[in-house]
Parts: sequence; C-alpha cells; structure tokens
Amino acid sequence: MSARLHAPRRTPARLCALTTVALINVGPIVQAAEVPSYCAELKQVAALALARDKFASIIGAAREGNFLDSKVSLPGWGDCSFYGTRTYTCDSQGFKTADEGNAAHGKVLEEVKSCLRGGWTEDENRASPGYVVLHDERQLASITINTDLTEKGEHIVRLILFLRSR
Amino acid sequence: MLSPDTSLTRGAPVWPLFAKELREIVSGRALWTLLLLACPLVGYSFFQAISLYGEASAAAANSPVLAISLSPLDGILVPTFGSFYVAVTLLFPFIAIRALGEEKQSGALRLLVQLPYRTVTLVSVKLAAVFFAWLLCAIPVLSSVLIWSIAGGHLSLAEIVTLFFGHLLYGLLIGAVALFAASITESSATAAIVTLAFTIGSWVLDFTVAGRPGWLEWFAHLSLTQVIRTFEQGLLSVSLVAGVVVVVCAFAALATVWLPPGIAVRQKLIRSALCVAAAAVALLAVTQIKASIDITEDRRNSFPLADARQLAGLADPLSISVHLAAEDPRYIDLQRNVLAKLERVMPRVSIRLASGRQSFASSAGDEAYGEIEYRYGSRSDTSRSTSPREILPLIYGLAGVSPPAPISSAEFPGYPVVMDGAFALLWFLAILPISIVLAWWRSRRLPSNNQTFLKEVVMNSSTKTLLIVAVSVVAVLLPAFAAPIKVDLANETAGAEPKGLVPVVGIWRIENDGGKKLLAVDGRQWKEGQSSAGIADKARALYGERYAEFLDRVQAYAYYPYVVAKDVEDFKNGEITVRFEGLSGRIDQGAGILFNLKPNGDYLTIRANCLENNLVLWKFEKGRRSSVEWVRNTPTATRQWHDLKVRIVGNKVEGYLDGKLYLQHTLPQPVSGKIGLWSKADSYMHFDDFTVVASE
Repeated sequence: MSARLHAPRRTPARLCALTTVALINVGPIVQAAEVPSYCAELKQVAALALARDKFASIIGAAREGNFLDSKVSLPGWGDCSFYGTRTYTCDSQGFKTADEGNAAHGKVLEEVKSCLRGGWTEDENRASPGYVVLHDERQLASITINTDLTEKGEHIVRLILFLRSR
Repeated sequence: MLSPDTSLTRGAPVWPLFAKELREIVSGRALWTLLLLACPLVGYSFFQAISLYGEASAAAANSPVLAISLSPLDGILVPTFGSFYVAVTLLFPFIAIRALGEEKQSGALRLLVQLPYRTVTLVSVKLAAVFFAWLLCAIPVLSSVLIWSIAGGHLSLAEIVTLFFGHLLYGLLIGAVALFAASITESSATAAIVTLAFTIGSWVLDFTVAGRPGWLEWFAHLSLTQVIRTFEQGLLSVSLVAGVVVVVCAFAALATVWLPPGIAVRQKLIRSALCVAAAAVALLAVTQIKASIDITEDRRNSFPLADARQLAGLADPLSISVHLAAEDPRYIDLQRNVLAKLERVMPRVSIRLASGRQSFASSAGDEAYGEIEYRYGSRSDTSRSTSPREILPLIYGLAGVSPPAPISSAEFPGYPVVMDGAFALLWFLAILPISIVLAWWRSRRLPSNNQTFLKEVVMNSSTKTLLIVAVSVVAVLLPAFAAPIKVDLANETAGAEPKGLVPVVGIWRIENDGGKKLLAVDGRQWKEGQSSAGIADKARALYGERYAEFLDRVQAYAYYPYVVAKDVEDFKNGEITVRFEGLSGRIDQGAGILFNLKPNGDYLTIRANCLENNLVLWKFEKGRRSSVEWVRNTPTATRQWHDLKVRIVGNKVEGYLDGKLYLQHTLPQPVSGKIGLWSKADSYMHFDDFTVVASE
C-alpha cells in the first residue's frame, strides 16, 4: 500500500480546523516581526548590566578621552562603544530632517520596549520631547533614547545603556 | 574799636563765611598747582603699580599659589595713595595756610574778627574749607581708583574706604597744623616753614628713630606719617581715629587761641597750655580704647576665626616677655604675626620687651636672647618661635584648653590682573591736566561779591567743572562696587585656561570663535575621574589653609567638570547668568551654573542639557549626585545659544532657561558658598557672558 493511498482527505471541515490553527500560530509570528534585528545583542548588553561583572567581558580597547571600544555592536547601529566602564552607547544611521529623526526616535523606543518587555519600564516623569528613559525593574540600570544633531548636520537617534549607582 | 554785637553772634549765618573761604582757596594758585603736580605724581605711581602688579599676576597664572599674595590693596591702592600722600605732605600746607595767612598779611583778619562770629566759628569754617580743598585735591587719586575698577581690577569697598579715610584724617591733620602755623606767624612763608617742620620732621623721625629701642621708639610714634600706616595695613583702629581727631581739634583750638589780635601773648600762652593739657588728657583716654576692625579681605591682621574666638574667651591676663632687640627681624615678625593680633583679640595682654634697651649687635652674648616667655595665670612656658602655629598651641596649653576646630569660611583667593596702563598715562599726563588748566582758567573769572559767591561757584564757575568731575568720579565709582561681576574673557589667552575662573575638574580653556573669546569645556579629551592640572595649587588658591578637605573630595569624586569664579567669595543672594552652546557630546551636552560650593566640595547646580531637553537642580554630597528638582520639556536645541539663569533669595532657588522661569525650589538651608560653571561627561560646550549680580 502506498503512502498516497493512506493520505488523509482534506475535507472542508478539516480545512477550517487547519486554518484556525494556522491563524492562532500567526500571531506570534507577526509579533516577532516587530522585534528589532538588534534585539538579541541588546538583551545581551542589558543582561550584562545586571550581571556581577557588568560589561567587563565586552569592553575593548581604549579610544580618545574616556571612550572604549565595544566587542558587541547592535546590528543596524553605528559607533557602538563605552564611555568609561559603565555606559554603553550606539548611534543610529543619520536622517536628513528633524522630523525623520523624531519618527525614528519613536520607532526605536517601541522596538526597545518590545525587545526588553517585562523587565524594563518607561519613566514617563523623566521624558521630554526627543528624550525617553527606561529603568530596569530593580532600578540598577537605565536606558535613554534621545535625538542629536551631528557635526555633519544629520539627525540621529542615540541609545545609551548605563549603570545607575556608582 | 567797637566790640562785636553779641546779639548777632549766634544768629549770624555761617554759609556766606564758608563761601568766602571756598573762594579764597579756589582763587589761589596753590590748589591748582597741587592738582597739576599731583597728576604726574599719582599717574606715574599708578602706572608703575599696574606694571609691577601685572608682572606678579603673570607669574601667578602658572602658579596659583602665588595668586593668594596678590591683593590690590598692597599692589595698587597703597602705592598710588602713597604718591598722593607725598603731594599732600609737601604742598597741601600751602593751601591750608592761604586760608588764614592771606588775611593776616593783608590785614583783613582784623576786619574778619569784627564780624558777628565767634573765633572758634571762624576757625571751624576755615577747617571745613580746608577739608573741601583736600577733597578737590583727591580727584587724581580717586580717578586712578576709578580707572582700576573700570579696567576690571578688583576693589574691596571696605579697604578703599578705610584707606581713603586714613588719608582724609592725615589731610585734616596737615590742614590743622597749617592753620595753627598761620595763626602764630605773621607771614605765609614763615607759616609754611613751621608746617613743613612738622611734616618733614615726621619723615626724619621715620628714617632715624623708628625701630630703635627705648624712648626713641616712643618718640617715633609722634611722626604724623604713623597715622597712615595703620590704615594702609587695613586696620581701622578706634583709638587712632579718636587720637587724630583729638589732635586736629587741639591744633584748631590753638589756632583759635592765637588767631585774634589784640590779646596779650601771656594770656594766649596760658590758654594754649590749657588746650595742650586737655588734648593730652583726651589722648591718654583714647589710647586706652583697644577696639579695632580688620577690614582686609585676607584677614591679615587677625588669627583664624576659630582661634580668635578661643583666645577671646581666655579671661586671665597673659604676659609676654620678649628677649629680642626691637630692630631684630624676629621681633618684627613676632610683632606682626602674633603680638599685634593677640593684643587685638585677647582682653588682657601685656607685652614687655625684656631686651628693650639692648641693640641687636650688643645682645650676642645673652643666652636668653631670642626667648619669648609666656605667662598665663600661674603657668608659664618659653619658646623661640615667632609663628602662630607654634605659639597658639603653647598658649592653649597654658590656659588648659584644647586648640579649636577650624571654622569653615571663604579664603582669600588673590586677585591677579594683567592690564595695560597706557590709558592711565594718557589720563594723568594729558586729559586730567588739561581739564585742571581749563578749570583754573575759568576760576579766574569768578565774581568778587562774596555773598553771591557760592551760587556763582556752584552754578557758573570752574568749580562746577571740578565738582562735575568729582561727582562723576564718585557716581561712576560707587556703582562699580555694586555693579555686576562679569567674567571678561577679552583679555584671556586663546588656548589657555581662564584666569578669572579656576578649573577644578575637566578641561576648560579659552577658545577663539570668529574673533570672540569664549570659555569652552572639552569633555572629548577628558577622562572621568581626572581633576584639572595643578589642582593642589588651585584648591589652595580657593580655600587657603583649609584646602586639604576640598582637594581630597575633588580628587576622590572628579566625575563632573566644573570651574569656580575667583572673584566671588560667598554668594548668598542675587542672580547668576551665563550663555551656553552645546557643540557636541554623545553622552551629555550639559551646561550648568554651580553654586553653594562648600570647602568640603559639596555643591548644587542647575543645569540644562541639549540632549535631554530638561532642567534639573542637582545636589552633590560626598561625590554622590541626586536630583532635587527635575523639570521636563525645556527645549534646549544643540548648536544654538541659550541663556541660563539662577536666581537665589536665601533658600529659594529659581532656574530660568532662555528667559523663562521653569524651576522653583526651596532648600532646607540658605545658599552660601562659592559659585562657578558646571558640565558633564564628554560635553563640549561654549560659555559666554558669565555674570554675577549679588544683592544683600
């Protein structure tokens, strides 16, 4: 007996059932599409901030002033680095107009919240236009997302993750 | 000859008499000659003082410890007023003598005493006219103070007023002596010789017997120049002021005795003896007054506050026997650093110069020579030190008390200034002399009618010109003391650290932006935790002997760049404003006004941030930062200039950004401390127009 002979018949009732199951499973797939591509790295950096040795494992060579290289970069972001050993920062790509920069700022905020949901909450009492703050649930670290204007005249979004207590 | 009508004596108006005396002085050549001679004399001294002070200031730029010793009182005011003192000593007697001598020579005095005035009124009015003349003569020296102030030099109102007051007393003393000399002589020339015998005789005393042991030292105190020394040291002594007033009154009284003709010489001698006796008694009384005020900013005549309070509480008598010759440099050090301060602060101190009759050379074989014996109550101890650091603990030990804990207070920072004196030379060698010559020329057209004299003098004459100059000097000078302190960057050197602000943490330098000099904080190169270069010297410059705690805190918690304003000792009330522009900074673009900076390094700051668009009042205690008041939604665009202002009234703080009040907070304690500018992390910011308006 061939396998074909044993294949189940796709009756309308079964098709309905399959469609229902498929729709139920599509939800997470759609949600997963909103999670940014840099989420895994961001989670890694956020987790290190709350770990015992902090960022020690991903801090690289010294740069000018108080800046240091980072061994972990957020995909899609640029110039990821450390300021001292307690502050991690990355810049977004440049935008030509302030409106584009502000739109990107809102989008990044949603992406970060989506990525780190559960453990991090936005502090609305500290927010200003172009500037938001998120704290981890133990208030040990914070993330700020702000806009800036570069020397080239480009509007960028900057993400900073830093340890709160000194 | 009829006697004056006594019914008129009390009712006669003094004003016309005063006007006549003014006219006599202004119409004479002596006043104008003195003014003209004073111009180059004062001008050259002022120019020299500026040059020397500038050289010392330039050296202090590289070593802030040197800045502590730079006081405008010593460097500028005393030398400039010193030249004025020379002019007053040598030339002012001729002006004062004219007030009486001319009338004696012309015979007008016999008519004058017929007028319905008491003789004492006549002499008092002449003395008042002499006082007015001295004020006119002070125009050159006052203008030097004005120039110094306008050019950005620091002035302490208390110091300048005290010094001016000392010279005024000296001028009155010279005037009184001159009046007396004119009253006892028949000609102005003889009166001048008598007066110069007093003034130049004082110089002779200074040069020959000052610092000598025994009665010579006492004799040296009779020198008229001693009057000014104390004021030059920044000490306002009640007994000295009262003593000079007594002597001035005594000479005026003697002039009153000798002025009226027709009285027997014997009677005049008896009255004079009574005057001298009364003056001696009064002098003896005023010398018992020990009260004096140290008005210097650096408290050079006082012990530290804690020691002063502790010593003031020691009620038993302290006797000090000094085995040193009076001219021994160690005794001079001891006198200046310890004995004079002890006499000021302790209620019962007696000092005996045990080697008083020895000379420095003859004391070589004395084994006890150099010892200083201190006896407090029944206990005594001996030391050879002339330093208060060793002597005060010794006295505390004798009194059975512990050395006091230091009291925190603002330290004298020193005021180095480098300025160009070219304008001063132009003023004193051209503009002012020409103005005086013009005023002199106008004075020769004065009306002769004495009764209309004052009106004419004030409204139409050359004195109007002089008065306008005098009033202008005062009018411009007084606001200069209350004017805002603006940190002027025009004379700063691009690329160098600012001179008017002390960088404590971070990299602060002057930058040239399109020809305009701005203050920049550059966090791009700075490593967190690094204090500014030469921080030990800077901490010492800011807080003097109590710099150690400040230095420790700064070095331990150098997380936030800041500079401290040199010229603001203790800001309690008023407004502080600054303009700023955020140039770059990935982590921060913060610009703040720092205030309430304590010697332990704690402070407050209100800061704006171009990356965060908020205005926050931060508190820093032991290096820990905490937000006191946080205001959101304060637009602060990067690469644009903004105005930041902090207004403080007691413990109430207001924060303004671009003219809009955003932040209000009431602190638990009133604000008191130094001020400055603040920044954070990698901020690269420009600052300009840092202005401080302090109010009471």
